[in-house]
Amino acid sequence: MKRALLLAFAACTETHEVQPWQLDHERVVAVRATPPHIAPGEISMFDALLAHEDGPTTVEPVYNAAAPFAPGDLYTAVHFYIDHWQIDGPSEERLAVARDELGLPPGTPVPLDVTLELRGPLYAQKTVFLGDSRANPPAPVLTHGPDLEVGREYTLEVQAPPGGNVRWLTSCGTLRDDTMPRATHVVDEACDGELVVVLRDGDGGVAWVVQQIHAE
Amino acid sequence: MMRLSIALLLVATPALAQPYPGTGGDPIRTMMVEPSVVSTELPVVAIHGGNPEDTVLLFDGFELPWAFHENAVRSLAPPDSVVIDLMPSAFGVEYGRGSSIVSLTSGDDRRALFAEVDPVDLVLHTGQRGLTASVAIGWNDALEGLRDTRATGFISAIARSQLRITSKWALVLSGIYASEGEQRYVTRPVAAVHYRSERWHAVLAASYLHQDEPTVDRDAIDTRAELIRFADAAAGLTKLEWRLGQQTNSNRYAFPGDTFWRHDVGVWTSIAANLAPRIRATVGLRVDNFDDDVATQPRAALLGQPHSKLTLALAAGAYRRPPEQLYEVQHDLNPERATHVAAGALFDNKRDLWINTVAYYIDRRRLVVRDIEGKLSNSGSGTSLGVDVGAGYRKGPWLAKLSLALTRSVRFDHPRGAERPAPYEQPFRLDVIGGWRKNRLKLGARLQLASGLPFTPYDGAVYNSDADTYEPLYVPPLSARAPFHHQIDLRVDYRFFRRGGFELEGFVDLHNAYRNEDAIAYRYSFDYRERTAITALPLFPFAGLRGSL
Repeated sequence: MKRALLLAFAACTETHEVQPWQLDHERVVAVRATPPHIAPGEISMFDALLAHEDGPTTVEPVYNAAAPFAPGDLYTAVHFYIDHWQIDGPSEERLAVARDELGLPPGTPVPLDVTLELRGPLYAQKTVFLGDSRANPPAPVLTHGPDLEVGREYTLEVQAPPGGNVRWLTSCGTLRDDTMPRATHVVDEACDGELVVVLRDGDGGVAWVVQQIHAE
Repeated sequence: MMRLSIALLLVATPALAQPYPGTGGDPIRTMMVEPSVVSTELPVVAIHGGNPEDTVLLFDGFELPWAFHENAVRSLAPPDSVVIDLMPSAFGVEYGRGSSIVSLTSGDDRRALFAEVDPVDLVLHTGQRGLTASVAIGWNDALEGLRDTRATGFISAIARSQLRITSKWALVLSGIYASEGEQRYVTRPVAAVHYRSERWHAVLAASYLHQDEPTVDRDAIDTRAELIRFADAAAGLTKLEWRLGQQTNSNRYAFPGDTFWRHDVGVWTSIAANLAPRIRATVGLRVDNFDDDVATQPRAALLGQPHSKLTLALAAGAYRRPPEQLYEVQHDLNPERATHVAAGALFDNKRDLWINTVAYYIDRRRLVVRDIEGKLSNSGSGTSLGVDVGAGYRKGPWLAKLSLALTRSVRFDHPRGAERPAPYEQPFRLDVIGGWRKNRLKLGARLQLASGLPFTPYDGAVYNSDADTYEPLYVPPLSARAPFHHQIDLRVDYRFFRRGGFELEGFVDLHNAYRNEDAIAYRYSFDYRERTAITALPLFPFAGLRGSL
């Protein structure tokens, strides 16, 4: 209750508060498991899109990964292999034990919540589904930029996956409706930066596009 | 004028030479100078170690959902529009549904007509026999950069019309309206019929409330009826007062995708009598049915006056708060419980000095807390222990007031949970006010010293990539405290002229005169990596003119 009160009441001091759509800020933009659903014997690997305070976004590997609250013995599915972290699709027998523990019907994908450490350090959580196969949604196509005019407002639009959501971010200008498929990009001063859109399909799948933009 | 009723003891403050410095003349900000209230510029009224939701705010006997406009500078009540009764603890059975009461009563029968303008609002007030109306029309432009408000302006209005039907019957129609542009508003009209004779007092009142917020609409139909019988003597007791009352609160909540009703009923009875010429006792029982959750609350008080200038009081009782905050009402929760014990002493030489002291202990159970998964339950408990000292002195043109409070208020989130401070625990607060008036000039100064409020020092979060949300990394809740706050406010009032009944005054109320920019609270960025300090208004001048007839 007190946190909600303080979110609605603030005094401006030296700097404006960072907004959720701002890219020029050390943060995890999205974590991707490729693929997000794996059948027994398949492998899923992680990467993450990170934003930085003084530089462009980067796609980075995971430093550490663990699934401490995994059902059954599925925590062993997460392991470091040579030079990266991956998840090995467990056998149907192990999945059946996990389904029993979680109360899931037979044949249902088992969600595995993986906690990740990334460069920074930054921390994230990603859910990978075990027991079936599914790929990430295709990356959206952006027709926005790279050259923009100062003082203009641009409409941004992508098709959100059914049951999914959209997140727009930028380090040049400001955004309105940044969690809607249709957003507005306001370029109020000259800048160089990026525009990012992240699509989530609501079932563990994620895709992103990074577009360089330049306004003068 | 503000009248204080500290539950046990009725304290009439001397007519104020001028509004307290730093309050801008706001009635609720003025009330918050009292020692039982947490000293803060946050838009909350937290009393005796409790949370804001433990305080019931009443307008003419019926509840209001909030006390301040979102700029936190102005409350719902325009200046001089209400008389405020503050009951911090251990009050009688005629009030309930919380642990503390702030009761706003419209109108005070004073003839007055004034207009006042300052950097944040224009106030118009008319008070005639039987009719009072006040409106404050405000704008947030002067607060731009100082307060983050969604609305560009605000309005508060209070009106009261009293019609004497016969020598014993009166009809009172009143209402309050408050809005922040299109962001939110509340309106509450009240109709009450009063009967007064030598032996009987009765009131029958009904009220409708509409509350409009971004995430919910609320409509309420409330009633209140009370009968009081007076008798000179019976069964060896004298000055008997028997009270019987009831209230109903029916609320309709309309959340997106979820509309439902909630019905509460309360009944009470009490008897007060003099056991001896200078000893008075009150015992009572209140029973509330909070949407089929029954709460029985016995209460008692003992008042003694060993000397004409000294009054002693002792009171105790059970109090319940229904889970009716907007974040609670959709959940299956039980009422919170509190047991109060309070003792007080008032010295008043009826001439120039009064000193009031109250010591209290509150045991709290079944507090609503949010667990690590975000689910609400009644697993919390806590205690509040403290002492308030208020004093006032007047000599010639000089006026002085002191408010001192010491508090320890702790919470446990579950039976084996670690102890932590209550969210609004303020171990120490001190206000010292001095005033001087002569002819056309009034000067005032106020020193505020107060412990900072607790906060949770988050240092990062885990990003849930699928939900696109952030869960803060665990740190012990409320394990840090904002800096000790100190502030001086100054006020000058000057009467330019008085002609033919019209008077023109100018005032400058210099809030935070030396620009203390210490944090009073903190707000976190969406990912908990950055912490922004919320500071007191820095050197804000409430300067304006007041013309009155």
